[in-house]
Amino acid sequence: MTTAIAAQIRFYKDSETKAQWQNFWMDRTIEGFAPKSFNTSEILLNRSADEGGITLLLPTLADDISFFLTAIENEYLADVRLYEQEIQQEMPTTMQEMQLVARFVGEVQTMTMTPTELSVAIGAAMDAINGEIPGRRITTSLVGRLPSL
Amino acid sequence: MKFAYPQNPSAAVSTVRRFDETSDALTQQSDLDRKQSVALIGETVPMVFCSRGEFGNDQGVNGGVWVSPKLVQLGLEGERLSMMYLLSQGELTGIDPENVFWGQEKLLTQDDSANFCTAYEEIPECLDLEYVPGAELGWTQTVIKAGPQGIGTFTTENNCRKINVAWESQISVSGSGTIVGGFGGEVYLDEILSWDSSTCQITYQVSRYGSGSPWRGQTTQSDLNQLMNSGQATWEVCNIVDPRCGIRSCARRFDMKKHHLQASWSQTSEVRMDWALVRVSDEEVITSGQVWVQNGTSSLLIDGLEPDKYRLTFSNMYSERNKPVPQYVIPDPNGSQANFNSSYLSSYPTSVPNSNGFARYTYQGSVTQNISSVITQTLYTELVLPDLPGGEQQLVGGLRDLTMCGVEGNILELRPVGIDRFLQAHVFVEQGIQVERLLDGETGSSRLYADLVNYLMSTTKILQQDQIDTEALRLSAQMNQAYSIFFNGILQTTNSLSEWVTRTAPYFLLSARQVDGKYGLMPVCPLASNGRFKTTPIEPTFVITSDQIVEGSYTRQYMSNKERRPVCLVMVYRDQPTAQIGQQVTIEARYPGTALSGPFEQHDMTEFCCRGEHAVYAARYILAKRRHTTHACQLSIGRQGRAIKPGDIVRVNLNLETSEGAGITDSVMYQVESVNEGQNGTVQLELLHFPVDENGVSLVAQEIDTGSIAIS
Repeated sequence: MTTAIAAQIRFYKDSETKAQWQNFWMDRTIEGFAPKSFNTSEILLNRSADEGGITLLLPTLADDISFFLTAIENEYLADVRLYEQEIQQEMPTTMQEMQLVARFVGEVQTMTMTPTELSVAIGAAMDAINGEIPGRRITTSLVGRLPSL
Repeated sequence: MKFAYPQNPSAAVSTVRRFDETSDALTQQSDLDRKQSVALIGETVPMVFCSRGEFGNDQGVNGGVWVSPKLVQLGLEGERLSMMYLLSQGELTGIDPENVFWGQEKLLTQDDSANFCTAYEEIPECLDLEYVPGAELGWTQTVIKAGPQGIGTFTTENNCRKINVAWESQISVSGSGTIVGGFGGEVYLDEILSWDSSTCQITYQVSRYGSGSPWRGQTTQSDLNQLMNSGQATWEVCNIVDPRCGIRSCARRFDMKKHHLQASWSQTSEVRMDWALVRVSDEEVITSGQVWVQNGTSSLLIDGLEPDKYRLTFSNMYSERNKPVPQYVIPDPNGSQANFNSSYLSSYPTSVPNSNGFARYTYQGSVTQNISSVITQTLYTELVLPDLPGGEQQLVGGLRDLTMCGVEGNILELRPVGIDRFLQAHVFVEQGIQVERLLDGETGSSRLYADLVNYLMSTTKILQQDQIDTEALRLSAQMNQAYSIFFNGILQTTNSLSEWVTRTAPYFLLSARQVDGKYGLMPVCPLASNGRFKTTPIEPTFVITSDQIVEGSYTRQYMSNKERRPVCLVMVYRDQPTAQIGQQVTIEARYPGTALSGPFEQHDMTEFCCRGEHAVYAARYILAKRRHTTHACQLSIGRQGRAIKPGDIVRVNLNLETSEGAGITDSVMYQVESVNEGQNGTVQLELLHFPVDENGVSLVAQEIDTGSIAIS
């Protein structure tokens, strides 16, 4: 028994789609998702307020570098979905034929690259260190010069 | 990546940490008369989140929070003081001036002329702020107190700049005595005459001295004539011895005692004292001198002092008394009529000089000396307003999205003598910041923890809206509403949101979770339709059998007995009355008959909890989970586990056989801690024991809902 696993990803900002990719059908666009060679790390769901996030791996291409710089700058969200389908006779032709097994929505946060591989972190600006609340601090521009008693 | 969270609340470090954080907290309600705290650049802008109202579940009206705001601006116009405080970020409304305290007293009791006002993003109207960089803001106050009665010491208040001592005194001397005395003898004279009746020619013949003391003797006619002509006889009897000639004969007595005189006097006077003014801080004598204190009023002014605390000492009282009274002594004539005559005919004092006037050097007599003093201190207080960078004047900053409050009143009432600081203001806030309320969809104040978490996640831009699990938050809010578990507190120290949620959510019977990249909260146990925990048998969302578990992926880890032994929970919260400032309250919670003498585990809920019932629910959850949850396990299953989400209840049925015989054979309920789904076709699960009774009812949910822990 063979299992086909497909990943699709949609980048968007304020419900406006910036890019849509899928990594299963390399020869065509499926349901608006363009073919793209990429891979994703495991998706972790948990009962804590952090540790969420996945990594997107793809070849280091100039266009992608430019796209992700824009995505990071503008805090694009990425909706990553994993589908699978047991293949017995023929390959699936659409995503609807496959089972959704995991989904993750996160913000494009940062990326690292080598000459051959681009690694994009997708997650939340929230962990045990970052994401401070309440974040506002007292400043002189906010409340003026403070007195001494 | 794992993060190091704070230790469990049982750990001493954690306990200390929590109390350290709140040591200068805005909600600190001990030492109400402490010094007003001033905001510091860089510290967190507080966020007041609360809503006062009917709690439900027969708990009456409660909620709201006492805030001890920090000072950000001040001004002084004459005696009118204006102080502006930073109350909260966001907009707060509906603060009753009756619920504003100045130290331990109500503001209006301390100063009935005071005004309290609030404003959003602007200076409250009642304030008159004027900030002059580099200037000094100073004012004086006077305080009057009784001083020493004569010698003694007096210690001033702090910041004393001028001392005026006013004496009201009775200082007098009264006496009496002889001012003319000495010889007191008498002289008798008989005017025995011979005469010629025909011619009526008189011839003086003889005189004689009076018989008896002091002397007898002879004298000349001339001397006698002096007396007889003086007309100063003290006694005289005359007889006519020749009516024809009209000639008389007189007997006279001259008594020198007639000149003797007794007199009295009553003089007012003064005393002198040495005085010295010593600065208390270093015992240095600043100035000294002598002062004469007169009968009536007198004073001493010591001016031009550096504001400080001083001790004024009066010592070495000195007075001038017993001055001799002027006295004239009539000399003994020693048998000489001429001497007698001279003394007798002399003039003598009739009174004591200056007998009723003022004299520093007084005559002898009895002394009356009553000295009392009143000391008026002039106290000076000065505030220095720092220079601004570049020397520019700046009244206040933007105040963007801030609620400010102000107190305007008489500085002499608000900073009374004896208190060398501004007292901390305390304000009761009934309605906190405006947030989106998940249960009714409106915008307003809230007391639901889920609303707060939603606000923090969204408004603070930590997450985007698509990354927030709104449905899970709404479900959590329903549960908190059903149990009347509310958040009434202030966020005043900056924390990592995830750390803060992880730490505080269990006190609201919630835990954080992330599903599909969306963050939210979930109740610690499944809920029934009424929003309360389900206390009927729970059906697992998924049953995992031995056959479904990927070979080699199953591990089970039991908790040590040390982690599960009975403890006594000390739950700290604060009561929240409006009429007076609340205090911290503790309850002790334990299973009956256990941990009577410890170990104790303290949980500080003062940050948000104002009802004992809330603390009891939290204690029940913590104790039940500790008692009944025995182990955790990890396993991987195939893609059939893709429907499992964190928080779901699953059952794992194991019936394993080994070559040595029966292996693990049990059926246990678990709650899903995490789900890790990858592209290798398996789903890795981390499961935590979810204890149920023989009917499948959650033991933790039962304990929370109708627990039997002992509360004291």
